[in-house]
Amino acid sequence: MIAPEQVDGSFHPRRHPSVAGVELDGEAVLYHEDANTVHVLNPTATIVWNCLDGSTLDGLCADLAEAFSIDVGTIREDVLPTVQEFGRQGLIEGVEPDAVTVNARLLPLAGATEPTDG
Amino acid sequence: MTVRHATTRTVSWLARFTRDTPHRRHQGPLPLRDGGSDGTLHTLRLRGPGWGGWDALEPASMLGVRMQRQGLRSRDVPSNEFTLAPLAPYFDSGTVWAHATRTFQTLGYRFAVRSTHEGIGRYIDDMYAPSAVPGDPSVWYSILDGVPGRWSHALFRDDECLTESDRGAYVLNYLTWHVNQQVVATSDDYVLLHAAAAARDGLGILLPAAMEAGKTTLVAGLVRGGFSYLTDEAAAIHPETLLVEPFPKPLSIDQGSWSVLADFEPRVDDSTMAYLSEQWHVPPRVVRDDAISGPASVGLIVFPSYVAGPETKLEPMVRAEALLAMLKQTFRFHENGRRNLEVLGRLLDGLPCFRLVSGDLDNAVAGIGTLIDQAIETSAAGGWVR
Repeated sequence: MIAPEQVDGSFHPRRHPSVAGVELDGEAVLYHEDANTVHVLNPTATIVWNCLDGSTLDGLCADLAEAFSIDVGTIREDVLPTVQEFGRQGLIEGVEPDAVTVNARLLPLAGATEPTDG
Repeated sequence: MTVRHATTRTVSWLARFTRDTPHRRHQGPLPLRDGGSDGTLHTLRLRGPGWGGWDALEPASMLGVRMQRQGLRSRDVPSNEFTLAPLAPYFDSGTVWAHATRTFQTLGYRFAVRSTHEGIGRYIDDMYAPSAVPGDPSVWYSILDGVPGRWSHALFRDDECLTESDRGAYVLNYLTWHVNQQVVATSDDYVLLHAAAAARDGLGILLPAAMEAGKTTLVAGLVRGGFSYLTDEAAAIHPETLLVEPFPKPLSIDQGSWSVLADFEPRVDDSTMAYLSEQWHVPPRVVRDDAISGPASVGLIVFPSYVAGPETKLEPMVRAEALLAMLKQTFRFHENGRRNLEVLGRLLDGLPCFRLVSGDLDNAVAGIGTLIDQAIETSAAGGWVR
């Protein structure tokens, strides 16, 4: 297990197996069933999330740079902090989540509270 | 008073409620109920370090209120063992029930209600009439009214005392809340949203929101405006068909909405009205006989919130944001999280979603009417509606 800040170009980011997701209009909504947290990704983060196939982060950046015809260094400036943030949120296998970040995304219990006699 | 027998219960789980516990309020059902229907005397032995006293218990618990009535407080209890005063039984085989309702089946929950007060028994029969089914119930609720020497009102589920109070209105509110809870607990076949829902021309609108957002008021206004009623509390979505199934419970209208929904006021005698003095529980057929909708396709999702004032705002929401808001309003989401996420994702795909902020019921109903008209047009043109 590594800290999110230790994620670098040689890291092989993999989606956590307890995370399920759906995509609506290019934005992913993820649910971590062990942590009971929900996460909404913007379109850019959704693209990065969809590309996490176990290859290295440098390899991922190279693929994205080619696909979008953008300089790989520029891509890396976006992708690295994005993957580190995924790690902080508990979404990446092998990365230690940040408790405060995770707690902020806990799914609350729905429903009416018990009536009180007062 | 007759004490039939005495028992001692050791309640080890109470050890969790220590003086150091930051959140003392018990979450979930309280397994400790004294009395039952037989007037049992219970001696409670509370073990574990730092017993926190009655204030550690949920406010509605019988133990808490009984101790309070006896003047017991945690600092007055020298040891962690004490005895509650014996009480006569609430009811037995000789109890005369003034009214017993038909059996009701709401989604997965099957129940009936009997009462020693005829007026409220008949009224409850009317409240849940759309859910009446033949056959026997799985659960009997009993409402006791005016028992000498006891609290004036009590509510039982079979032999378990759920609550007791001096106020009939509290007991009726508790009954409707408990039925809702049990419906949610026994309807695993559906994705259940904390939402009101209505339909027009077979096309449904979901109104997911937290408590006090104005769901019931808004859906009552929609029904009055010609929509059909699906629910004011729990929208049941079938995971395969994505249809919303009706849960036509009575509309539970808070006092704050009585002035704008004056035509919903129950017409009952004074002693029955005492049960409705804090919240009106109104069968939807007071609006019209055919007010209940059948299963409906969802054509529109609106997230309502009540903000006092004349302004009404309807703003489009991106669907990912709408999905997040729906996940937060899904009952027992985590128990079947992957399925619930997948179903709600499919439901939302292509659907228009809006945020409604309003303090004016008529304007809110008019705005939603315009949106559903557009949805019906789109549907007729072979659009996105399933």
